[in-house]
Amino acid sequence: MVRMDHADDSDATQVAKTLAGNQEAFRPLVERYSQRLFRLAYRIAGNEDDAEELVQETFLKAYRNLGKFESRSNFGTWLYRICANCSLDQLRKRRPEGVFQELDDPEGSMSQGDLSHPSPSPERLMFSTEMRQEMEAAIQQLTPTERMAFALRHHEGLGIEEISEILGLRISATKNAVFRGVQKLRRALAPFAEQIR
Amino acid sequence: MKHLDDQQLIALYYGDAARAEAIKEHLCSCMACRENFQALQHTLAAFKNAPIPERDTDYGSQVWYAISQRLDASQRVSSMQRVSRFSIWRLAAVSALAAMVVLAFFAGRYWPRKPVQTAAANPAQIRQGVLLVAVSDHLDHAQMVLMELANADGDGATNGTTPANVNIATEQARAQELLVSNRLYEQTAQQTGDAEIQNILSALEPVLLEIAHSPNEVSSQQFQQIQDRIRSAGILFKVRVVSSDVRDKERSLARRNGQGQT
Repeated sequence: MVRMDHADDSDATQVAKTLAGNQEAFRPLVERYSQRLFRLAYRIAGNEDDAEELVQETFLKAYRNLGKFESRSNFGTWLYRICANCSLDQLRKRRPEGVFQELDDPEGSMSQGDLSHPSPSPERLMFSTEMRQEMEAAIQQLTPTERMAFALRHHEGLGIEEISEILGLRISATKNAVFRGVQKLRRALAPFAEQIR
Repeated sequence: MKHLDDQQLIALYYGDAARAEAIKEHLCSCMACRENFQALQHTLAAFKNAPIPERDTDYGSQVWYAISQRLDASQRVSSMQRVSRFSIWRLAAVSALAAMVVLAFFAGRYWPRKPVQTAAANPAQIRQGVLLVAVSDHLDHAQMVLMELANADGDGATNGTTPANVNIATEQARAQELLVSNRLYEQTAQQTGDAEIQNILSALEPVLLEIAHSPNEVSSQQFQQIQDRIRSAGILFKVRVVSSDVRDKERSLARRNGQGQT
């Protein structure tokens, strides 16, 4: 689509320049979105190495598929979508098959009562570092879709519609993914309720 | 009102609740729900505050350095040819298609003929069919580029502001791709003796050439000249007519082949 651009460095302009053969034009996009993507990737992957790998993979895929980007869309949202797919792939590869059965059940008809978490000993409750570990463990219990939906809603502050676009889910399924994610986290941290207050 | 469930509380927390006012009213009057909501807020706040490892301020540059090495290794876009990476595949596909048509042309000419042939096995029809499908697709793409340029609002001087440049980089890249395939199809049409297709591709070439050789951003005046060129040559209309003819021929050929097989 022909665009009227006053700002040379807008995302769409950089995309168009890259598509026209100027590889360096992709650089400002990488520099602009790397930090944000890292934060999201870290929340999904749970460790720095995997998160950094995800960021790079996202940009490589974005570059390869730049021709599919529609200039009317938001480039950041498009990148999030790629990052979401890369993250889901990575999580699925690294978990044994069957762990994420709920992925096939985005509408949330699965039982939500299987979230038993062993009660921590009093000693463990005393340490905030261990508290953080419990929180990380709680996040690990979420399915990739729930984890992604929670990260985008809770940390990135995206709306349900945008998240559903990123995850390729219906609005109702997206709401369910956020809801189930939060519910699982609450249940997992219920033994720590007093410490959290 | 009965007690609020988790779904309502979570929706309220994120500002998605359908009946937010009623829920808030209930929270004011129901201590159990209020405590439940506060517990939810505390839990979610704890996750909000979970630390994320800091990246250097030049992290973006580091990522660029890391990936540009990998782009260099396998995906560098040829700035000399100014053809996008996708056009490389397109070029390969077009070249393969053109080679098939030419091969079919010569195969039809020199291959020993059987005394009786069905219409479906006729090499002349096969090469014509391949060319028609390819050219039909090509003309559709060309038409889209021309239409986008012809119908775009190139007047940047709205509201008394300074006229803006018009970014045609996307159309320019597509015109460059089309130019390559246009030449190949034109040569093929010449070899197969399809005058109508050869003529339209010949008329299309200078227009595509002008778009492809324009700068990424053109002034409103330059953009107007491109639009005038498209309109004055009547190229869009011609492309539409030939495109329609090509599709008719495609259908007709498919029908003949179908009859030949029965």
